[in-house]
Amino acid sequence: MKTIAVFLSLSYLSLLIESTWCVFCDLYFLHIDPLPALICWISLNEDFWPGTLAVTICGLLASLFSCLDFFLFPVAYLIGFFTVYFIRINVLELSRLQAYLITGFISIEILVIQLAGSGTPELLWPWGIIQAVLNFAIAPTAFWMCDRCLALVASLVAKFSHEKGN
Amino acid sequence: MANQPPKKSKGIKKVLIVATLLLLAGLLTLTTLTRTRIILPAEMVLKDTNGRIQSFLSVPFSKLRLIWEAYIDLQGVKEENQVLKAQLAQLENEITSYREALIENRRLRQLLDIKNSSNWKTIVAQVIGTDIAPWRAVITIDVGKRNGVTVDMPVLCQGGLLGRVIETSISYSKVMLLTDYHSRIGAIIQRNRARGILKGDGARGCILDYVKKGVDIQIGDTVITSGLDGIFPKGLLLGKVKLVGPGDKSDLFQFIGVKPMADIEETEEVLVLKSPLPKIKKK
Repeated sequence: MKTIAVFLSLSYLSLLIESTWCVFCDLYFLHIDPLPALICWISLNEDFWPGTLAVTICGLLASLFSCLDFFLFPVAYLIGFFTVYFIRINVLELSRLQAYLITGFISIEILVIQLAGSGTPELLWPWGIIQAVLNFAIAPTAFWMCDRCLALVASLVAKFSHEKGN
Repeated sequence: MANQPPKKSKGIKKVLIVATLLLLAGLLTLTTLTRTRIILPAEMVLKDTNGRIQSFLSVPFSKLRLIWEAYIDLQGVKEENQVLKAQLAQLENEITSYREALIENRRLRQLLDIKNSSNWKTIVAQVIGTDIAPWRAVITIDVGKRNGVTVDMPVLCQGGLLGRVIETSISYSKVMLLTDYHSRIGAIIQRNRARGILKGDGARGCILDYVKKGVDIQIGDTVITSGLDGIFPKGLLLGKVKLVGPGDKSDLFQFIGVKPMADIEETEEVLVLKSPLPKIKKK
């Protein structure tokens, strides 16, 4: 539950900043998007159904900030979530660096779906690939932020329950 | 990673895979069904809530940019002053000729009995956000259905036409800019009335398509709306031709790159045209 709360809060915050900040920062087709990293993080830290629900909500929230088809974001994000989740439960226990690399790969997956769904698949090369590299680069920061927030929430909950116990 | 991978039995894994596929199939079906973008009331309320937060957040970013621009402006202020003086002298000459044209225009309008376009109602709006998909040139403005904004209304800014409204909620609207990949506007070259369709290139520019080879197009030619698309009124300034090329041998049309006159990156306030297109009165 704490993981989902942290994930959804950070997702919403990043969506708000992204949609406001990008008006004043022109980077052509690129943007600083921590959402693929956040999806990768929740895939590694949450169970199937709660994770699926959280990522769906995140996708629906993202749809509100875009003119793309409403369910395009949930579909793209869920595919990213399922990919990492099934790697996690079937293949291996991921190291941090591997998790960052996977963030880059699922970014490509997500972008393929979003670009094809919005009728501009030709932008995948080279912009989509550059965006995926950018997402890989910001993944350590996003993971660090998620872990710190989760630790903070956990300590607050522990403190609150301790005070309640006393 | 600190977390251990959960141990799942084969049965559970199969259930998860089936559930995953069903969920994705369902969502994909919904995606195709919602291509018409019918906005549900709940979506409208959520969009309005987001819009309020975006309005609040856009203020500090706007202030920061003003400070930065003020600093940049100071760097070349002397040079700019000299250039501006020269431009002022040139513009004074142009104004005189425009006055003449205006008088002539009024006379011709009376003759044709066309309603004067300057009587149109407009709404001033602030730009509060942008689309999170960076390949879409779509902005959010702080006026919506409550202010009388409807889909397909033209949106202008200082330089000229900026785009059109594609989606409205109660207090906010989304505007597709003329540089968007999906933007198509009926256009003509002001000098020789050559017709074409202005398409967005997805980044900062536009392409004037469907102008036949052999038609005289020069760099610096002004491109205006033709009014033939039924959305934009005739005569709105779109941009200037910045590039003319013959295209491939097999192409029937020229390649014409257009630089929009609207300052798309710097725009903070826009004007939404509310009134319908002027119509010729029937006698």
